[in-house]
Amino acid sequence: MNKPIKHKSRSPLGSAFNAFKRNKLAMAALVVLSALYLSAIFADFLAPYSFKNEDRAYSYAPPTPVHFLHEGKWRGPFVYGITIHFDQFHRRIYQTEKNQMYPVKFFVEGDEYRFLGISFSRHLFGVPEGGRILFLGADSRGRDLFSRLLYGGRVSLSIGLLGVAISYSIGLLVGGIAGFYGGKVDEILMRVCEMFMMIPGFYLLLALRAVVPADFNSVQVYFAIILILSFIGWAGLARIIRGMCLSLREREFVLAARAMGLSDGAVIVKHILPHTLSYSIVAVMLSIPGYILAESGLSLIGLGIQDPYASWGNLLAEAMSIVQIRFAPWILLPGLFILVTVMCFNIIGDTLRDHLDPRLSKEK
Amino acid sequence: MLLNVKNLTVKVARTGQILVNQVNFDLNAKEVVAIVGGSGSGKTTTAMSIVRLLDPSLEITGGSISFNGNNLAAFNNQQMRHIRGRDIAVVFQEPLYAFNPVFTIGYQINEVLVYHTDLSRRQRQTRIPELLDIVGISDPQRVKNHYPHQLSGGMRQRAMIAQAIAADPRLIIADEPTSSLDVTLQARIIELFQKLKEELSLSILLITHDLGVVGHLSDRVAVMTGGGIVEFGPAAQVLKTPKAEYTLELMEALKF
Amino acid sequence: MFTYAIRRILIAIPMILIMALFTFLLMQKTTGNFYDLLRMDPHISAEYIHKYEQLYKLDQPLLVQYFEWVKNLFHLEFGYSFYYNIPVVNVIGGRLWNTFILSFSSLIVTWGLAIPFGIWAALRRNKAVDRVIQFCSYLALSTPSFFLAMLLLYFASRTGLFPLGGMHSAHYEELSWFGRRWDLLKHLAIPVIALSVASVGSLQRIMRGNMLEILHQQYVTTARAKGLPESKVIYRHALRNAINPLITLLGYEFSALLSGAALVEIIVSWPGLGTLMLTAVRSKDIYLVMASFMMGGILFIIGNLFADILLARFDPRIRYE
Repeated sequence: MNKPIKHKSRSPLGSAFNAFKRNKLAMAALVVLSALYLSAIFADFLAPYSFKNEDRAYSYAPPTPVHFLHEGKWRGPFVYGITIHFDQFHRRIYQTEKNQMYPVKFFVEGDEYRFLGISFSRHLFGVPEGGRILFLGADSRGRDLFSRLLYGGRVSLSIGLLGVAISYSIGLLVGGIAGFYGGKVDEILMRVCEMFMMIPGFYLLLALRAVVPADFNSVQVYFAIILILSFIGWAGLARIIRGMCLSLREREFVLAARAMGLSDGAVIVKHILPHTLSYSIVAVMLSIPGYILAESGLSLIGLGIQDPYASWGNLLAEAMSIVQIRFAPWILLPGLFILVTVMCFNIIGDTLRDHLDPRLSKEK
Repeated sequence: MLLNVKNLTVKVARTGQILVNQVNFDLNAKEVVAIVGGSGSGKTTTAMSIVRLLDPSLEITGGSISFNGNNLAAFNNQQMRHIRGRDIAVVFQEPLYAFNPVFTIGYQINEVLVYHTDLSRRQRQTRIPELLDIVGISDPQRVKNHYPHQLSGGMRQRAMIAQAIAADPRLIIADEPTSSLDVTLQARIIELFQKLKEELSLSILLITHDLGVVGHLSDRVAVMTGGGIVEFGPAAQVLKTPKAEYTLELMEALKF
Repeated sequence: MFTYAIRRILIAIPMILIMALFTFLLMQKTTGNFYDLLRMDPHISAEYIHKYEQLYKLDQPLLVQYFEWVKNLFHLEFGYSFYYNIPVVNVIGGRLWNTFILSFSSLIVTWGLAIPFGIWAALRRNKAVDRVIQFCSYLALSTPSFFLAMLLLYFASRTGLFPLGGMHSAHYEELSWFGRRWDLLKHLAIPVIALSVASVGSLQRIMRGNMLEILHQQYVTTARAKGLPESKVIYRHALRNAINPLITLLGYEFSALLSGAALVEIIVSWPGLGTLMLTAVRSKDIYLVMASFMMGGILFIIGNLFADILLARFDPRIRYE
């Protein structure tokens, strides 16, 4: 009696993962991106302070160094207190007060926050009342940049995902129909796409933003931005999907499905779209940076997410003043985070695409 | 003897895999020698090594290629450049891909004349339609201003041949020149090669898997398989009374 | 070739009209309140308001309004800027030109760098040079242009190498003809670098990819078989084909530059369409917003048109279909 042969399953996901294991850079990008998203999700916990927590006494304070030794003796991690003086030019001088010691404690009580509907107040680390731990320095209102970076990540990273999700859905619909039916339908739909792609994105962004009522609160602005970004972005994805559908239309399994009497809709959904999945993922990965950059750009000039809410874009707005950059260069950090995020998406998207391309030519 | 290939060996540089194994054959002036074999037999590699048009991953590791008294295998790139197009020309299988799509036919033939002849501009302008006429293209004045995609398959192949004979080479290497054409066109091209061989005293090294073409056109034929030549002799003889087992298999398989 | 150009122009016209329609509809969302707000502003005379209400026939049905709007566009009547207190058309012209200078300069720099680097990388595939260029490209194309602009401004403030934004120095008027060009170049440096870096990164990779693909094409082997010098094989036969897909991209390239330019303009205070639009949006100067928007769109359409025609010029397969 012959045993059935066990085949190693070569799912697309599995082989993609192999490609990543081989490419160190791509693996690193995946890790970094995951870390960023995790830190965004658990921002409340990881950040020592709420994004609103301000203390003008610490305005533009430099990053607080964490010390372990005090006068030669081991004391565990702690920070010193800071007082501010003004010199003859009215510039701030931050003076460390060595007699004030604030130990860094873990799992401390801090600003309250809500996570998944439940209130918590534990934070990963913090210092007792009176001290302030500013890992990456403070902004003009003395708010901890590190905390705001983490919260900002929530906005910047999620807008990318949500915007792409909506664009992709619309693009899938339009592209699928255009690619599947071809002919006149395709021509008309593609003309429409072209028209949307004709419009210079940033200008449209500004124009649409002008139309949004001024009395929207921040949450509404957040969703308005997502909608606006999707409105601009769906056309590109639609074209890609339409291209894929057009070439798949003639393949045997599609003809077979139609011969079996499946309705057009069923053929599209059950047969064609699954094949577009891998390329779609690549297209999506490579579009997300666009959304993140668009939101950052908008927030940077004050038309996006507003204070006190943080997004990497509006955090960078502080850096618009050159004077501030000279004395507080750490306010440029949000830009670095944007850069790294965009780079990671690009590397991952490219790696996936390179991985798919040789396979595609083999299929031919 | 125009061309004498002795013990030619070509390997894949990185792995050492042998693609052409100690191949020996020769070719005389005004003679057509065909190399037949299945795909992967090494026939194209052998032919391409004569003009050093190999894929960069391959290298000639042994043997000599004697042409006009020189050993081509020992030439450097600079020297090979002078040979290519002028003394030895190549006709490729699929002229649609072998011609550059963004230049006219006339332009591409002109290039050969510019680099390999002393003809003045005027002379070249007259020579190009002449060449197109020799290969049997009607209305050469119009055709020379056309782009490759505007011509029919048969005309394109003729144009490719015109480009090959432009600098009056001694030898033409034709790599599967008829494989992309339908049967009637094939016959025409074979006729053309015959005519050129007679009128221009050309020698032709013909690479093909089509035994019909071999029978109609070649004087001698070499049968290749697995990188080596298993039989080499006058065409009529080899096809009538093949000595090697592989030749028999090939003829069987191709229903010759 | 001429007919092809005419065809493309004819397609562009309805595009412009649709853009106008879109802009018009967008305006409808706000103009209603807009005029009421204006009436409340003491700085604006009632006669101006009345004049424009007449001009745009605001009391008539929407369709009539639309036709008036388009008609006015053709007479270069773009409405009135209540922020600057002059007709829009007076403000827009100069700004449009400035944005164009910026975008065009970036385009030239981008192509001037990306193509040689792309070819270089393709010819030295997988060698050290190629790997370095590839990594730098990733970095370059991921850098947000606005962030780079900020970094460059900071750098300029510390070294004094470049002026800190704007388009002309204070003493521009006093400079010689040569001096003025040089002044302009110095001011162009930061925004153009900020804009170009990302484009060079992505374009270089595309060029490299195209080159690699083309170098494997049969006609490249043929060119070698003809005994042509290697330089001609690469720079005439291969390059001509490798560039064609890039020309297709030229249209999108230009639009991306235009779009990106807006934000960079704002950061370096370059007096262009982008800064204008921002001021307009912030002050809810509706006609200015819409006119800037339309101008941006038209610049884009013209850029695409140019690219299409250029492509037809370089790729005979398109011309003779």
